[in-house]
Amino acid sequence: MSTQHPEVLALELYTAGDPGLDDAEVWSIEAHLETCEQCRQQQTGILARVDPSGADLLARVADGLDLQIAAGPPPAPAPARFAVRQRWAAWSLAPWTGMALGVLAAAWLLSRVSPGETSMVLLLAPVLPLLPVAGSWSRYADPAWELLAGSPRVGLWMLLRRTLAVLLVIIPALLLVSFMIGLAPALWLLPCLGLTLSTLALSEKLGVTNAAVGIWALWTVGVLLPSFWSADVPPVLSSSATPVWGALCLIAAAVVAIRARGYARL
Amino acid sequence: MRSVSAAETAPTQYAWPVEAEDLKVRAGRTMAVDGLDLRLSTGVHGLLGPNGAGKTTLIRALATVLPPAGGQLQLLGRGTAKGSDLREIRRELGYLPQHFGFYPRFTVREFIEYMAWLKEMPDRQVTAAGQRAIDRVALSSHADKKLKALSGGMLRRVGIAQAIVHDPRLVLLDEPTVGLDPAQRVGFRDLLREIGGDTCVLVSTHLVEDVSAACSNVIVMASGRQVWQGTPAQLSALGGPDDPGDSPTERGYSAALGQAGGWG
Repeated sequence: MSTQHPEVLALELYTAGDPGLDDAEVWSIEAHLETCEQCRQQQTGILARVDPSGADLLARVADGLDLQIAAGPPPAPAPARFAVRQRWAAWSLAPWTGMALGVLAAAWLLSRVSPGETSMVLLLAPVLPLLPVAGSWSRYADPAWELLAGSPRVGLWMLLRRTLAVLLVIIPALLLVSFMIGLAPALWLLPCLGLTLSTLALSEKLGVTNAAVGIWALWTVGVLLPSFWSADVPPVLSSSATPVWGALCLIAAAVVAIRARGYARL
Repeated sequence: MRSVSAAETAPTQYAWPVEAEDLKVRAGRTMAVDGLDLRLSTGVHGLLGPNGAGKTTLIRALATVLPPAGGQLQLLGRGTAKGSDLREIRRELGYLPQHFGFYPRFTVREFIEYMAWLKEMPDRQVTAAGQRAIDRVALSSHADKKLKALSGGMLRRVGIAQAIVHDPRLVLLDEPTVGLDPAQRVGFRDLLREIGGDTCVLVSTHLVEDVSAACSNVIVMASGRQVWQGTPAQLSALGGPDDPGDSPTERGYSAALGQAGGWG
C-alpha cells in the first residue's frame, strides 16, 4: 500500500467525477483507495457533501439488485431424481428390496400351486421388510458405510426414512398380492409393522442387521417351520392375535422414541 | 480473496482438538489401541507406524466410527459417549477412510454434495461448497463424470474433497496419498499445509517423506501405543547412520521404533 495519501482536492475531484483529472491520477487514486481505509472514510464524507444522493449508494444498489432478482426467472431447482436418491434412499436399498420382492413373487407362485395350504404370502409377509431394512444398514452392502457411520445425519431419523422407503415399496406389493390371492391384509399388516418396529427398537443395542437377522431366525423357527407340519393358520397370524400385535407396535414405537438419542452409532 | 470459513470465526472453547487419555479401542477381538495418550493441536500431524500398530483403528475411533473400549476421548472439546455430542463432533469432522467406499453411479459433484448434505451443511451452501472442494483437489474438469469412470488417483482426490467440503475443524485422513502420482502428491502436500493453518489434521501414512514434507508434528505408534512424538526435524535427528532407511527421516523413524522395542 502506498503511504502517500492523495490530496483532499484530488479526492474531491475524483469523487465528483471531474474530467479534469487525467487517467494516471484516477488509477493512482483508485489503487490507493482499495487499500486505505482512512481515505475511503474521507471519501465517504466528501461524497455526502458533494452528492448527498450518493451517500445511500449501497442501499440503492442493493434495492436495484433485489428488483432485478424479483423480476428474473427463479433459480433452477435441483433435479428431483437426485433429491429423492439423496434424501430418502440408500444406494444399497435397491438390490435388497428387489430380493424381498422376489421372495414375495415366489411365495405368490407357491400359493397358486398349493392353494389349500396356509398361504406362504401370509407366513412371509411379517418379516418381508426386514431384509431390505437390514441391507440398507449393512457395512457389507453399503459401499459408503464408513463415511455414513461418521456423519451427523446418522441416527434415528435416517433409520426411519430408510425404513419408510422400504415399507413404501413392500406394503403396496403385499397389498397387490393379497388382493390377487384373496388374503385379508388385516392378518399381516400389524404383524409386519410390529416386527419392523421391533427390529428398530432392538437395533439400538444390537445393530440393525443383527436385530433383523435375529427376528428372521426366531420367526423361521417359531412360525415358518411349524407351519409345514400343520395345515392350520399359526395362532400368531390369526385374527385373535391382532390386539397382541397392536400392543407390540405401541411398545416397540415407545422404546424407539425413548431411546432416540442412542441411534448415533449403528 | 480467500473466503473465511465458519471454523475461523467461531470461538473455540477447548484447548486441544484431540485429547485422549489411556484410550483403548477394539478392532474385532483385538485391542488394537491399548492405553494411548495423545494431545493434538491445530496443524498437520503425521501418524506413522508399522502394519498392525493400530493407526487405522485409532483414526476410526477419532472419526467416531468405533466406540472407545476404555479410557477418555475428547474431540473438539466434547466427549464421545452421548449421541448429541457425537452429532456436534461429526458436523465438524472430515474423514477419509483407508478403504474409500463410494457409489459408482454418482458423479463427482453429486457425491461431494451428498457428503455435504450428510454433514448437515445448509442447503443453500452445498453447491458452492461442493464446487470449492472440487476445485481444491483439481477435479473441476471431471466434476460431472461418474465415479466409476475415474482412476484410482482421482477417486482418492474425491475422497479428500468430501472430507474437506464442509470446512471441518478436525480432518482425519487414512493413507490419503495411496494411488496419487508424484505431482499429485506434491499438490496434496500443499493442500495439507493450507488446511492445517486453521484446522487439526491427522494424516496416517506409511510414506515417511509425506510426513517430513507436510507435517508440523509426528506421532509414531507401535503395538497400539504412542512411542514417540515430535517435529519432523527432531525425528530426522533421532536417526543414526546405522539405522535402516534411505533418508534422515526414515532413519529417525526406524530409531523411534527401535527405542520402542522393534516393529511391533
